[in-house]
Amino acid sequence: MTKKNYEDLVKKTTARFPEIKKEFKTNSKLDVKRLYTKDDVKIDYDSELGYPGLYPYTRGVQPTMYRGRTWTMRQYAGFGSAKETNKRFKYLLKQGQTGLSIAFDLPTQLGYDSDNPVAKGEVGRVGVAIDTLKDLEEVFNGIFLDKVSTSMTINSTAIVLIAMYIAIAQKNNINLDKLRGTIQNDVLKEYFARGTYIYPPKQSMRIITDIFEYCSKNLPNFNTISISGYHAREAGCTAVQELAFTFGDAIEYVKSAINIGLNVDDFAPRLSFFFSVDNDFFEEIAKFRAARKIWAKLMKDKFKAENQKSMTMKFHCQTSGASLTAHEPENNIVRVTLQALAAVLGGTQSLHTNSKDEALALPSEESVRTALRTQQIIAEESNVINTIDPLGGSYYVESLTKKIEDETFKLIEEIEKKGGMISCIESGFIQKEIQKQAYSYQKEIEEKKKIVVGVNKYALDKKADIKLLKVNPEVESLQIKNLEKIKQKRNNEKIRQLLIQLKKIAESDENLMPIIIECVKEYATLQEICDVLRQVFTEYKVVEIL
Amino acid sequence: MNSREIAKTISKIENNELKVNSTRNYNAHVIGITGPLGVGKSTLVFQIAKHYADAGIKLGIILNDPSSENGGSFLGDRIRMQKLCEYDNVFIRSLSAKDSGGVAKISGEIINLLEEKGFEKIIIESVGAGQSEIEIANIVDTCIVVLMPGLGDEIQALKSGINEIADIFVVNKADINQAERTLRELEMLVNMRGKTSWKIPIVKTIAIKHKGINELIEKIELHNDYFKKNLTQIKKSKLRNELNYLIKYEINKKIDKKLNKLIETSVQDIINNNSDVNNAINKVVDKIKFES
Amino acid sequence: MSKKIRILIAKPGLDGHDRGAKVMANAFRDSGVEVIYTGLRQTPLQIVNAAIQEDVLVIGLSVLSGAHMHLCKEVLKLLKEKKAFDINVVVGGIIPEKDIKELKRIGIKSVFGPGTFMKDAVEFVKKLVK
Repeated sequence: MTKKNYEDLVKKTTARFPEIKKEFKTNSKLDVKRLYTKDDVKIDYDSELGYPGLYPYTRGVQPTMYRGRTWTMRQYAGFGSAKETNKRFKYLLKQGQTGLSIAFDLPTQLGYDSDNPVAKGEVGRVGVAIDTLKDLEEVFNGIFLDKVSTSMTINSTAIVLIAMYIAIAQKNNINLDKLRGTIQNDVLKEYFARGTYIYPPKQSMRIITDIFEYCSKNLPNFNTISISGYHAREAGCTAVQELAFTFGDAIEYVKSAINIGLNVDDFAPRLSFFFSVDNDFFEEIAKFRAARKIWAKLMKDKFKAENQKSMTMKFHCQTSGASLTAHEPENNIVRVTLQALAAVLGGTQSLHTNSKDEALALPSEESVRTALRTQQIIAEESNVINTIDPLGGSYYVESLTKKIEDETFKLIEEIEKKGGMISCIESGFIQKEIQKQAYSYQKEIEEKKKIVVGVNKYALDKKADIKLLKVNPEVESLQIKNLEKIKQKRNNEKIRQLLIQLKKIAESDENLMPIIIECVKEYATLQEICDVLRQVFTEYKVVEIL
Repeated sequence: MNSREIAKTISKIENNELKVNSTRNYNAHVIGITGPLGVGKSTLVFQIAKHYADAGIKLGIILNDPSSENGGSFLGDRIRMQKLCEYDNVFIRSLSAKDSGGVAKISGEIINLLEEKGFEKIIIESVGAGQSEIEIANIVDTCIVVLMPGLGDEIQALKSGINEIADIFVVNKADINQAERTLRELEMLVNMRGKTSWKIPIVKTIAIKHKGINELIEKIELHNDYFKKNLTQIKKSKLRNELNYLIKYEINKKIDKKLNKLIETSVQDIINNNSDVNNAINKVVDKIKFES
Repeated sequence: MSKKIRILIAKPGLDGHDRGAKVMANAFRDSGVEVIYTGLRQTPLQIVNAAIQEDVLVIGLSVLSGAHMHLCKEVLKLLKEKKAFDINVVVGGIIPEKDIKELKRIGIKSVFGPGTFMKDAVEFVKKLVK
């Protein structure tokens, strides 16, 4: 039958049975039609979709995808002391997890030692506390750095933590080219979405490019940055904004690295990405497919990359924390399952699944296990891995992929016109955009325009009753005691000399990495190093815009 | 008097529960900072304030933010000042400025209150919404107009009024393009003002990097000396302007409601062909003259 | 004209997640409240001094880092010291049930967890200061 017949039929039907909503939209407010047909997908297969492992990578970055190897199951973990974190890591590895992911506490992320008064109450809370190399050595006690891949969610102080990681490898005679993993190191998004900035943007960019330069020569298998849209999305922005802000940041990093004389194909293969995977199933799948294509085009056309690896966008994915509810936590397992499936159908390289209790506390061991099992069931029971990009060719998904690509390019262009991401951060444009979305999202929930099961519909009248993780309250005092001990034992005069040298190098344009590695090897503290940098680089003055 | 009491007194003034002594004793030096949105006024206020705060001077800061229709508002300028919040000698208050003129109408009263309570310097920042922010000049001793490079239209607009109020011009963000051009345009503007006993300085700053701040402070102090020396004379003209503003404000408030009604009637009259525009105007003006 | 309600919204401690704080700031503003927002990384002393100088009726703290116990205690202690204990303090964030009880015991007026509706929080605060 023809389209005309169908449309008549719809008219008749809706006259008697109106549709449940006037308009259907994705979570990011893109219009969704009743039906998609071949008329909606007028794209050239070879140039727009292509084949897995080949430009423009819409269908995937590897030629065999999960048939060759499933994604890395990487649960973000870390809390309390280094010892406890070490125990959780060993537990996760025993449960079949394939990569480690370290969460650091806020003082560590902001360059303060545990004994700093501003750290009071925060030590070991949202991650592990690292003051000196000693702590990180403890985290990896009995874990071989050449056997695991390690992801570190660390940004403003990434240079100190990667230096510590290198120092551990060198002390154990492990070749640096054996080190695999990722540091987040994406400071730009801190200014508008995550809040752990220290230095002004320009100085932060210098630290980042120093890391790029050092690692491209010495750690060829380590991802030197994970350019993250996750936090902006969590802060409230849409899928299109998530992509545009992420690539906007990426453009700044690439430009800076080129400006200091690096060749794009020397560092770009080690750039990786980090996205959120939210509730709108098809929109998220389309988002990932579009993202790969956008990155490939940007690298090829804008930055004239020639190495195929520079054009392949590898990404880590985390299920949406903001979508979790404190009401009926077990419902979150279902949300996470759908989100995880979307990430897999979208071709992720690595995945963190949130635990059901994360709207209430840091996850317990049991709930982390369920979250990991969710991934394992998708990978090993559902058979979704049998073929590559199974939704390729779906009229809806292809049309949405194209739509997201077009909208993202539009927004990237708008940002470029406004002088790029750094200018847009300094003017508050990005912050305003995110906030507008976050507020309107919450209003929609309260007006029941958006349904959250168990919260604004089918809500129970009782509070969740589950066992939560409790962070050992003694961590803080223990950590301070240990720090004191280390300060007594180490060679303080040598550290003083090294810090003076660090200051000189920070004032010059020499690479900071080698001297920081030397400092950490002598057990200089994180704050001692950051204080020198704060002195030279100054601290960022916040632009808060409401 | 502790800050709690001062704060409570200010609230009472805000809520129309209290009127304070409305003449100044000129013991304090009141510095006003105004200029278009986005030129970095708050950062500049912070730098100036920090200078005085570090010197141990008793310092009051009044920050004006725009308010919305329903009375709600974000008073966000304070964010940039929070480091000063731990100083014992600093008092900061945010005001929502519903009234035109760039500063809340009660700003003058608050200045008087702070002066009476022994504050040595008082800095007041205007909303920064537009060109009509002239009121601030009437209530401060030293009025700083902040601009930045690339504000072509704004400088044009300056010619039509706001330049009258500047005692000091600041070109902030002086590290971006066109700074020299802005500087030259301002110089022309200042020269156009003809010969006055106070030559308006133009200071280049990069507030965020603390560049040019010391020079600015120097000019502020120079102006303070000039101001205090010529106090009698300046006081008169400031008072004149201030009264002009406040009286008009009160009159407007009184007639606004009535005026709305009268206008409605006039509109009906004109529509019904019982009157024309000129006639209606005369009628309304007559009425108001008698009733107020 | 009814009396103005002024609220101070701040993020104490080192936590950088400000979605909740900013959404609530918007909600209060739209309901006619004057919102003084002081942003990230505020020390308890900065918060209390600001609250006093701004003469707010309510302080809204947002903490998602787990440091709520220490930070709330500090804020309340300083309010007492500065004879401003009549300023109401409410908290939003991820806070376990057991801690909520303790926070209320020491003087926090209410704790708003995930899933709280903005309108409920606004209503609570407006009633609180009536």
